Amino acid sequence: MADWRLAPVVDGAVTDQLRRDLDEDDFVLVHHALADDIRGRMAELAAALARDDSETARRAIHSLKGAALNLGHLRLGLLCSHLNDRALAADWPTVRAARDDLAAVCQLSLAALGHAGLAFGGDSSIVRR
Amino acid sequence: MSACIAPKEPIMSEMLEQAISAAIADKLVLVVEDTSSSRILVSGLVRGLGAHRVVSATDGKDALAKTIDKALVPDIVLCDWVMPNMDGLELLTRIKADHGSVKFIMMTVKTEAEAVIMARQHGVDGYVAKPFTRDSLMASLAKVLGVS
Repeated sequence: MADWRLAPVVDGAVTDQLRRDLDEDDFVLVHHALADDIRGRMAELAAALARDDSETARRAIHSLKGAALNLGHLRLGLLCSHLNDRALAADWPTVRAARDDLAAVCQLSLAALGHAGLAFGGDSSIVRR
Repeated sequence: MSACIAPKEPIMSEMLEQAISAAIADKLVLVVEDTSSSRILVSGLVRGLGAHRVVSATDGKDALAKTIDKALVPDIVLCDWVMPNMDGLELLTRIKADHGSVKFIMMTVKTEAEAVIMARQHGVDGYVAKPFTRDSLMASLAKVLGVS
């Protein structure tokens, strides 16, 4: 698997293709929706890990992976793909250890989308105000 | 001479797109995805291919609730596999049991042979690997619409 650290935050070719394939309204809407999906799934993941709910945590990672890759957010998609594999192998220590990396990559994707950062970082006990 | 060869592929693609557009125009398409960006993306692409009637659901349970209304029984379902509440495989089974003629396309990262075979055993009509493109969506829609 490609190293997520080396991947571009956004694959410009995918963005260009989406610009051709979607009408202007949907193009704008889908990128706002991705920002909401990132925030929503990260909150879901933090809450699931806090209560040791592995099924919900795995599903949150899986959803984030699909949403990111569909819109060419390659670094986030590849990191989620790696974490999804670890989650499927029940390697939760690795998933937990990667929360800060995941939060940082989410911030980069949100910045690329022109959105403010996450309410939650990697640690669900820390709420940034 | 080369001018005769070069346009061949684009023309084939345009012809396929026109055929899909004509066949899908009056069909009701149900998009089932738990992430809103994927829902908007798939719905937008399908509308761009000529579908005038596109509705969406957030998971299998929501989709099934929508099909209780006979007017909302779809002709084509484009569905994610992994979702909360009711996943794509269960929705496929339930939809096929109640409405056998509905064409069901699974959109998923589960591309390993076991998953494909399982979906086929449950009656799936098409399969789109994620991350998908407009072209891969077109290919699967062409198959279920019987256009080539």
